[in-house]
Amino acid sequence: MKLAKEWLKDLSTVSPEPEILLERGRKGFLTAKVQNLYLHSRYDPNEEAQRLIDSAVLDNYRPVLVIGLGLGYHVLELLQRGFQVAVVEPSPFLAKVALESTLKDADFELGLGDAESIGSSLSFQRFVSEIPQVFVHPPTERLYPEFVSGIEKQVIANGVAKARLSIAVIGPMYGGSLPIAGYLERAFRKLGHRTLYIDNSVTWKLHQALTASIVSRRAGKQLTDHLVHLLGEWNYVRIMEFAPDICIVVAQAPVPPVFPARLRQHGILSAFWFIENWRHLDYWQSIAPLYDFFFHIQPGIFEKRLEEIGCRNHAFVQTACDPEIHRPVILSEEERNHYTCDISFAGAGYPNRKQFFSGLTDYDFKIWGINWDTPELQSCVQKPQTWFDSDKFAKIVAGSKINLNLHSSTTCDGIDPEADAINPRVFEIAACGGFQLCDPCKGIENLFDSSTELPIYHNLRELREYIDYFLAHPQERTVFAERARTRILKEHTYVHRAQQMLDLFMERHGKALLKKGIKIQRTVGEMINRVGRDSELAAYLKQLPQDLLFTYENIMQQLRSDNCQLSFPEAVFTYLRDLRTTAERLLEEPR
Amino acid sequence: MRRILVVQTTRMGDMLQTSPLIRLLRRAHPKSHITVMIRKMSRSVAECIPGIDEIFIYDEDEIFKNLRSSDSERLLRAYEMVVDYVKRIQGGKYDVAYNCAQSIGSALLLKMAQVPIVIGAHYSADWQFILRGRWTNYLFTSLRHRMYSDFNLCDVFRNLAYDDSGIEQNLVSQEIDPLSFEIHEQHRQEARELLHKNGIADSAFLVAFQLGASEVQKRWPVHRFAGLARLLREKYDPAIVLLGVKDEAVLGQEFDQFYNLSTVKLFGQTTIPVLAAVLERANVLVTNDTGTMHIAAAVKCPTVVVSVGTVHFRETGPYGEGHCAIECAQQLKTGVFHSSEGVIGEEDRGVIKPEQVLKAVEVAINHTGQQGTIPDEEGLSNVVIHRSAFAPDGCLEWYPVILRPIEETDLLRMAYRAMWLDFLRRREGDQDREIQEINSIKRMLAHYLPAHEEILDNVVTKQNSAFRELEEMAREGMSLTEDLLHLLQANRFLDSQPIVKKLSQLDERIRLHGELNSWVKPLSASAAFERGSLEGSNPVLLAQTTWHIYEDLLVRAHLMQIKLRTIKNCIQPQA
Repeated sequence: MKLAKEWLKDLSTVSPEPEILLERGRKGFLTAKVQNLYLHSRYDPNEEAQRLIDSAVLDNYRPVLVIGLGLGYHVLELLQRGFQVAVVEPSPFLAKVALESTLKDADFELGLGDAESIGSSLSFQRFVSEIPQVFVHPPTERLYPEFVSGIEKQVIANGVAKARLSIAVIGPMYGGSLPIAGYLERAFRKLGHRTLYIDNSVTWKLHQALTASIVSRRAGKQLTDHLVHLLGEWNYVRIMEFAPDICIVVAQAPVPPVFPARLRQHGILSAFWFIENWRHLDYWQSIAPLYDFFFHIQPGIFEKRLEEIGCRNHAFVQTACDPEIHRPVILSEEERNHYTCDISFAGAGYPNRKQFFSGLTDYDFKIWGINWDTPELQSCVQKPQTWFDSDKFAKIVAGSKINLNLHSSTTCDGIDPEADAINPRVFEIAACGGFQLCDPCKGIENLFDSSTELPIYHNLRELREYIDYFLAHPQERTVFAERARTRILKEHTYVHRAQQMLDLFMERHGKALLKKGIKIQRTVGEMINRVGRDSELAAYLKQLPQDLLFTYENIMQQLRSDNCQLSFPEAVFTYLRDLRTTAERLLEEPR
Repeated sequence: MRRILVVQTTRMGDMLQTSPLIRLLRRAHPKSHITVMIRKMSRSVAECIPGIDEIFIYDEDEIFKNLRSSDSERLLRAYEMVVDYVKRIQGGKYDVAYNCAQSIGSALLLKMAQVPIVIGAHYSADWQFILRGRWTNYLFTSLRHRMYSDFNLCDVFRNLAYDDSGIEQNLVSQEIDPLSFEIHEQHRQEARELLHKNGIADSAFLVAFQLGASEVQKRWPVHRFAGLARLLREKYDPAIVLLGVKDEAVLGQEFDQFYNLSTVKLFGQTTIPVLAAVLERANVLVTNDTGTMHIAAAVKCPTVVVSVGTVHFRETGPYGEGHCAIECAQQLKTGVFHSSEGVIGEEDRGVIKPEQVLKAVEVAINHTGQQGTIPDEEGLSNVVIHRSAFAPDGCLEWYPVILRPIEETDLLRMAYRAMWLDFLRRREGDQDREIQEINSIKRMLAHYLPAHEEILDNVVTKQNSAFRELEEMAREGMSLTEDLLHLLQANRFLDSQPIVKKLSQLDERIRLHGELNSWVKPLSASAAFERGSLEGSNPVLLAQTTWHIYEDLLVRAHLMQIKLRTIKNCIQPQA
């Protein structure tokens, strides 16, 4: 892509294309006919261009990428209105005619050729990195649909996909997916996006208090339903105020089925991350088709089932680890006394686990978690039985020579032959630097090498053999653990999952994002370059954290509370704060 | 040539209420260049106000939308828009700016633009928000004493000129500056055609209703308007025109449910100039407190404002002679003027009946410059009706129409009015002012039946005594602050702490005194507001300002005693 004028020489030798017929309209304006379709009005192409641009409702201050040059009437209209314009066009002949007539001496950038070659040019990539508004010339779209969609993909890949987005994550009140929701939001934030985490766990105590105080289970359920409804509305209002590009609802979050439709009305894309076993919990059937994307942790049959109920946009996205949370820790002496053991398991007492672990009670075995009520295991269960947070989990792993993992099942004893939902524990133990022995689960062989990173046991006897071996070979344990950790950090963190989700969104919904328009999110450091390093505003911004996002909320937080000797930029931001506060107060007043 | 900037970035009605100030400024400096900085919505009004050389449109809405967008580029755009405005103001090279918007925002803008003189809210050299000027200070503190607040905003804006050393003080009181609004013949023609198109002949008795208001709390219920329409029909057979913006058409539909004869609905059908022409033609406008009311007053259409809910007609009522305001007597007594807590229901807003408003309409229509009163009657017992006129002191006054005995509240309001005018316009040995004051008091008293002895005695003993106590406390405050200043100037900061504590205790006593003696509260509350609004970090400057606050309190309290005695003497001339 280069300046239009620079193309003239290259185009001088271009021959007419037989399918393009040039004509003079009734008023003498030039138009072109391609495959029986006129590129512009035969009567008054200038007036047509005005109407086209009016109806596009473009933001005067944002650049415009025009797909389809035609003979340039609409481009001329844009230029006359003061827009910064770049144009892409598949036909060199049309470009030549336009540059020699309608757009003679016009100043804009032009890309010619196929979508891929245009997309690979640096000037195109630079232009789309500003997230331009895309204006598609309607006849071009009809004549060259592949070119148009190819360019749009390039814009998405080079612009939208690289832009900072606003992403909201809604977590549940309680349960295993609660910390995962938080990890996901942190991951998006680490990727540089502007995020909001709605933590519904703050209401769990209220929920418990309500239900515990009621004898009638029916009444208790009704109250829970009311609470969930209230939380749904709270979540909705918060989302509306944050106005994200994407909202991700994590399993068990209190939002009603109508939630994604409400968001869609405001152009907000939604996703649901079903971090459950689809065989155990079946609410996915009523909600999966409603979301713009449905992420899950079980490939295979489940995906067929999703297709059957009309859920087309689904993808397998596993859980992972957060290296800042799940990391090796060094225990103090007191902690060593508390946590040290030969083997451990941390988690809930599902029936299959209770049955299976009863075959290990002759070992120095510590069990952590809740619902461990079988008499045989009481000597191993650590009391009191409580949930543990990630800090404690890291200590459990640090204290154990061997960390056991056994996927939960409610349908069979011991090892579930159908297990296909790799649990977060696989990743978390590895990230904490622990040596792990794990039961088989579909797909786990793709994550780890069982001979060098994560041994897989298939029955109790095999497990006991592994335990005996690795207890006797501590160095091998260390090597295995290190390799597993290296693998995990390289491929299986929540940052990887977050990026995977975004890549999937771009692939399926990038066009929708492009059409809606992405808010530009720049850091303070980027804004300094944007406004000019020598400017008064830059001098002020240099005093602020450079990686802070340049948003209203962030800048207002940085303003001094005393008003002593404000610099000019500080005065302007103080003024903006007063303006917005006053205006919002007026909006809130009863009318 | 003096270059003057008048900042009025609030509502359309406020722009019109600033026109007397503009007229005064033009009188004071005939060759000056006057620019008004206004919002888009006020443009069509500003274009009809004579004396304005330039209109500077300030579009806050676009900035606001950019701020709410959560977009870095748009935040930058908002920043740049403000910088542009600052540069434009700087480019105007104004000698003085009148900040009638009185907001932190407008003060900041003028500070950033470094306008050399600002009358009104401004930022000090060390970036503290200050209320520059006596009348500015009054405006801000008037919320604390609305019960006895007697000045229309137009007069307050006009009197800002007293704080401008570039204006000869006599000019302000020399002449009355009414609302200004020029109607072009073309707009009159359009209005005529519009009315003709709707079957209203030039000779028809035309009554205009403004059903809507900016807030529900300020609306007299639509069914009451309909009741009034029925009564007017019996008496005058008028053509009735319903005015308002497009969104208020739904009120017109509601009106039709209660009034089954046809009315002409002009919701959203007129430009501001054509609306003004329609009002100029109308025989009377019955309205809520709205911009339409101000336009009507400006074109001298007899106006009746039904003051309900949070409306304070003395402050925001029609500025001109011969208009009427009707209000519930209970509201007047309890002083429910400015409550933003809770909604005032339709039942409460509908206490004023159509037949009572009809009385006010008749007073407004029949006004021929004569100041008349009507006898009290049972049907009017729960309302008060006032007629507007300019008092000898030069400010707008509301005279009671229904002849009733004067009450304490009335006496206090008269005293406060005289006190504020004396205090804010203070000039030594100004005999004209004293004569104007007496004449104003006498004219007001002429609209009342003689006061009961008990009330007069109360004025002298109880009320005066409370003001005397307040004066003493103010004197104590001045003395303590002088001691404080001595210590601060000697850098004896630790030693100053006990005095600071005493001052806090004194402030609490003053506050309590105001709570126990409600007629004193406006002064105690104003002083408390001023003390609480002190800004800055220099302790000596703060102490000096504090001293002035107590001094002002002393002077005001002293003046109140004098004014109450003056009023009593006017009622009972001394032998």
